[in-house]
Amino acid sequence: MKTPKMANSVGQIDDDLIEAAAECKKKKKSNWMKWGSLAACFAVLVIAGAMILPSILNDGTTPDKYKDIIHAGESAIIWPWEYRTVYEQYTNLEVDGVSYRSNGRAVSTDLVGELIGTCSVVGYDDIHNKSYTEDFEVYELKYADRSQFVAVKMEGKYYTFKKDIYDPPSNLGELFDLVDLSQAIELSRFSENGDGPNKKHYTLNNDDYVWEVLAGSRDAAFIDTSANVENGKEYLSFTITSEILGVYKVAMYVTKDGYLWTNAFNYQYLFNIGEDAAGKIIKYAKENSTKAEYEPYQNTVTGKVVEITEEYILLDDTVICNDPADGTTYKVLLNDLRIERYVDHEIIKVGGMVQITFEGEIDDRNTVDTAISAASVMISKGEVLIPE
Amino acid sequence: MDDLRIIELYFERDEQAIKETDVKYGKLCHSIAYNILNNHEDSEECVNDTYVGVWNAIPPTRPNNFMSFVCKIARNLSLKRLEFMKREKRSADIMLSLDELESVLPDDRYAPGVSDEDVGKLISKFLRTQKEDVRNVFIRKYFFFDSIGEIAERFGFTESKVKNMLFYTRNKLRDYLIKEGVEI
Repeated sequence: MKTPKMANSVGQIDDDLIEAAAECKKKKKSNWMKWGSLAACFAVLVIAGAMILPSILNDGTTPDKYKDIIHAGESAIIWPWEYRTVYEQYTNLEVDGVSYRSNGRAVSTDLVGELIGTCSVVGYDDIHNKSYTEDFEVYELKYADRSQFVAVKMEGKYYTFKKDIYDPPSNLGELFDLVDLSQAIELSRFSENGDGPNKKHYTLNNDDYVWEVLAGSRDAAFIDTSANVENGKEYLSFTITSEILGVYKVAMYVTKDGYLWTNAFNYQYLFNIGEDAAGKIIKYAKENSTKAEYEPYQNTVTGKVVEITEEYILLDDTVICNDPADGTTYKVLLNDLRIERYVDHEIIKVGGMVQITFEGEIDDRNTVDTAISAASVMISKGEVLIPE
Repeated sequence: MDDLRIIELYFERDEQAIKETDVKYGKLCHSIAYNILNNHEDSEECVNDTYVGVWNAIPPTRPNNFMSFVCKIARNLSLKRLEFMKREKRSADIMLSLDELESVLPDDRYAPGVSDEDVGKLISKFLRTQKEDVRNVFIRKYFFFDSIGEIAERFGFTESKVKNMLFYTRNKLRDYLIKEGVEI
């Protein structure tokens, strides 16, 4: 490895500048800044979660088409205030003394209940250490107690806000009283002993019986631990996406030795449901499911940016293909602030390698019209790496 | 002991000079080396090599700013040592910092004949046009190679703010260097 010339050049900056930086003292944080850093912590936590989760779920994927291992991830960018969507701007709410926070997941109108009232929602611009307050209508959510989840209407859409403190229920019954889990969550996919591409994946025909067993385990005690409950055990890993809970592809494990674990509530929740209940769920799931293909955490396309216009970018993946003849040029539409901002901030540049994450499908003309994020990637010894 | 006196000890070839340097700047040198090398043993050796380097340089050199002089040698030796370290031993932090620096101006884009010293002067000139905090954050990150967390803590900023400041400073610096004709 050779030290970049730029690093050596920085080593030649004027002595007085180095001295000033060496001696600059720590500043005392104002209360304001504490709030700012609290908000930033959330952002970093959410982002860290988003970065770690794919690595847990995917173990890196190697589609046959590509010679490189592509590690999915998200870049840890805190966007300037004006480059954030409304749900990224306003994230902190307090109703009746309860603090709620959103992670920007939308919820369908048919899951929204009664209007609670109009409340001030606070947003933090951590780049300029400013806070903004805006009034929005706050609604109850169906199937969830308002002490846990509410919906906030912003620019015509509803977003889930969750209670923002660690206050776990003492047993599974209490959790069922606060959230009607059978309505809030549809268990449709699961895998055995992990969720990577090498595991066996299934589609569950019907989840009613699973909820029935769990609802019958009201006394299952909450266990406060940070240990990995599934390590070295036999278990089923259900995938949970829930608009009410505001979660996307998180996990719920049922271990053969009698534990129920989930990260669907921001914090790790673990209940001891007993071997009998766990056994019933595992047996039922295995007997009432069909084999399914592995699904990646998020859909992505990776390639070299060959053109950028006002409306779209063209991305060519030839460089990472085993056979250059398999190379495809994707047209990624710049139709959403969430993707446009990567161009404005030159994270997507002509000639650069990027990975685009999108929500929907790619059409048969290789157009991606639901891109939501991008990350610049480096190819290094046959691997595509995403610099933080 | 003040720096002028320590420099005098070097001129007198008094080995006490090294002890005094260690007392005054040993910790600072070690922190630079450790930020780059990510292990104490290599860092310790680099700090010792730094003292040898200072001993060999003074005399004839009489540094105007002894602290900066020592830091530059420690940084330089640590980066040299990093070049020979196995890939798996290098920390992700330092590799990212070096990548970020290279992204400002890749090696193959340097105009011919432009030396590191020349670019160093231009970087200094650019940094002097920036706000004090921006300047110091940049130097803490890319001269001292502090982590984002350490910088955030030192300045009382959020980590996101530090990342953003660095992002914008790198971009502005790149534009400045291009304008100044450093890039081909």
